[in-house]
Amino acid sequence: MKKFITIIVALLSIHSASAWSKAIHAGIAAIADANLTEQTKESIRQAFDGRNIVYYAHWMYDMADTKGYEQTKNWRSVAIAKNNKPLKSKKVASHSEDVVRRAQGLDALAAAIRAIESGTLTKEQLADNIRYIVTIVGDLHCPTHYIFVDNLPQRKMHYFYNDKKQSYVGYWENGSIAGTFPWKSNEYVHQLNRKSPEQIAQITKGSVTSWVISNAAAYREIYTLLKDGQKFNQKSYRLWQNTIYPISTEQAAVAGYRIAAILNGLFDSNVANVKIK
Amino acid sequence: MKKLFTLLLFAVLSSYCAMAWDNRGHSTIAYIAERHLTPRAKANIESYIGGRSIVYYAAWMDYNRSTPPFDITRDWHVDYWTDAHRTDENGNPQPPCSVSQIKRIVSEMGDFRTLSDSLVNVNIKFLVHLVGDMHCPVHIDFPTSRPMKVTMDKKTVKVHAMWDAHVLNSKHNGTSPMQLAEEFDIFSDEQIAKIQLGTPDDWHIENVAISEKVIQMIPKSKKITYDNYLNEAIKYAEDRITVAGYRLASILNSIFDK
Amino acid sequence: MKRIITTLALVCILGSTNLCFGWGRDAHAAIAYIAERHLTPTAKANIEKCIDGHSIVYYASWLDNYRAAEKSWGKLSHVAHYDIATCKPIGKPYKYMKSSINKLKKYRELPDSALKVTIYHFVHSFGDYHCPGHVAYYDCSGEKPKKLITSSYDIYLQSQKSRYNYHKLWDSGIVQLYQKGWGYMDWGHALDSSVPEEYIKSVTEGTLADWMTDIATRTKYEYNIYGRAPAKDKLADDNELSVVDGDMFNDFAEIAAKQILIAGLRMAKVINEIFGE
Repeated sequence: MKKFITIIVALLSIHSASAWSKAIHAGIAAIADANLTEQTKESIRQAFDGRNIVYYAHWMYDMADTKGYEQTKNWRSVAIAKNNKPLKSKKVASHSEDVVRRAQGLDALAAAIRAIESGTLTKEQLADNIRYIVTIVGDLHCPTHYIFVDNLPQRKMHYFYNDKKQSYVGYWENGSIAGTFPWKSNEYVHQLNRKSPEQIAQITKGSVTSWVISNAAAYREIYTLLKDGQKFNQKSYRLWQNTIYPISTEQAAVAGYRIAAILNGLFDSNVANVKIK
Repeated sequence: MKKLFTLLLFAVLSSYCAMAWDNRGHSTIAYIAERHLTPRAKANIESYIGGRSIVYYAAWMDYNRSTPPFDITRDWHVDYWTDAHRTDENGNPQPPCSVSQIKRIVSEMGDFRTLSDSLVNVNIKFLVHLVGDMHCPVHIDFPTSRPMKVTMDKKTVKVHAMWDAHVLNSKHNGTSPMQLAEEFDIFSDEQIAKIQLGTPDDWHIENVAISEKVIQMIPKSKKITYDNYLNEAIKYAEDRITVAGYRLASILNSIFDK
Repeated sequence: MKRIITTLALVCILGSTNLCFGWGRDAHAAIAYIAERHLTPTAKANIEKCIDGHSIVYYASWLDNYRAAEKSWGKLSHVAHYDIATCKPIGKPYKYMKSSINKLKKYRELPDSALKVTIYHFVHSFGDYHCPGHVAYYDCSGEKPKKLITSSYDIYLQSQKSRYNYHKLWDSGIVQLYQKGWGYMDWGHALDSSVPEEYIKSVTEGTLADWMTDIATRTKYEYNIYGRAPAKDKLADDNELSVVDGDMFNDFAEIAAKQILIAGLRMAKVINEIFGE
């Protein structure tokens, strides 16, 4: 057990720049896919030559080193000011810290939505922008993708599991769900796609920016659950994980419903568009 | 020299035995096939395998290759690049390979009801696996690719080890075979009918060409990244898995839909 | 690469379940999922109402997650005890399980929290009692039952070329090594595709005591589990350990598959009888 956690967490820290794990991204996309209207599904199927959004859930990451897609590395997180509002684009671009400059996720998401709304895209561009939405909205529901500029050092917070130093950021991106539920993407749907229409309406209410603001407020709270340098043994670690997984699984579900809301708004004429602001 | 070559070929064939698709790949092939079985074929097949799905036995041959009585199947998982490789220097046939075994089993199963339950049971397990194996590019022995190694994630691996699992898993790690089948099985009935045309021999020739292609695609530096290899290779892996699934369905329907 | 993957997989397996924690998460989820596939719509709706709308699969490993939190939950034994002469269940594990089922029969009268914990206990431990590694035999001829055989020792697992805890092999090793990359829905689909009605009837007949005796009898005689890999000292040299070779491993995989299916079918029967009205 010790060895496992050590190695897995070590692996996770290596990938800590890469957001939710592949399985979680795919799980979120699968929940979204299950909530698309037929009209939306058909439009996406055409754009993707028959594929679905689950297939492309992690695509933005797979393409990060491909020429023409390098900028997507800056689209994975969002910079948040002290009042929990997203930092203005100009301030992000001119910030002294690299981690803030790279937090352009909300702008990229807005650009993708506007591009699709414009209706002037080629098939390939349309496909790219759908894929951006799926991945970015997923990431914007991962607490560690919120860069709180007033408290940057908290990103470096660590804990000790059986005396080995581990990063909280790494834990969030996979262990926060997989440490309790080693689900496959279709199992995310089976387990988490259980909200009533009223609950879904509540979750998808508001604009993309309002989602980010409310997420930011909630995710700030999450840091209060973490204590820098906290020491866990097997028992206390399990108990701590028990406090985390209800939050992380809920975020995965919320992300799935919101992706569906955006895409249904864009592709189904009977569904209202989700506003950016 | 020729003798040395033959010896090498044997050595490599035996080492290949551990290769071809991993459990995820084989299971996905079986799922895709299952989605295209006729209800009658599916019911007939499952009555011989205890009410389980064929997916359960997708990799069964891999677990039963080293001990009697199934150690005779050890070499069945691979195939020869050209007909010239099917005999040794003295004209003696090489060990049986996947295509010849598929043909033999299909002909033996012509009237499956006259066969013993256990023979039908084991033949189902063979077909479910071998049709997958014969569509895996690296299960074909090719002298130039054999010793080739590549570097991935700072680790050096053999090309066939990379194809064994890493190509598919580089994109689909964390996705279950059930979901993969859902994502891959997107072709129209006409397209599927076209894919299912031909014989195992035709499919072998097609697969040899694809094997050559995926090996030629390997960058000269032998350093594998998403950008220079995997993003393209994954398309071939998905294609082969999907095609294998459709063809497995067509073989099983031809035997069991009666 | 393969070796690295295998080693990693093994490390994951070695660590992912704690010693004595019963079936691993995958097997527990598979059992609950198979049960769910056989629930009547009324039974499914009724039991899910009691657990906040979640699937029973969600709680299949709850007892493992929370055993550290509450002493009383940890004490709900995961290993069942049997009289070696008769293979009849004895002691607390059987008593607790019987009492949980009896409590569920009056589920409408139970307070909310007690009902939940009772369901969590049932969906977890009922699965455990179908795991051949969870059978402990006692000599009951004397005044006090004397523990004779458990699965708590190491063997040498040939396919992994390493020492392996025999109990852990049954809990999670077999399931994860035999069908790598599978989720619980894959297990449910593959094992429970078209199981003949007569088979379902034959394995679900009888009482809890009958079912537990059935497991203990199979483990002792039909499966001959402990006889095949006799216990050796935990600290024995690798060369002295009993070897589980490929053949034996395949046999074990078949037994595990059978037991997972049977456990799911029986769990469904109990839930249908109680919650189906």
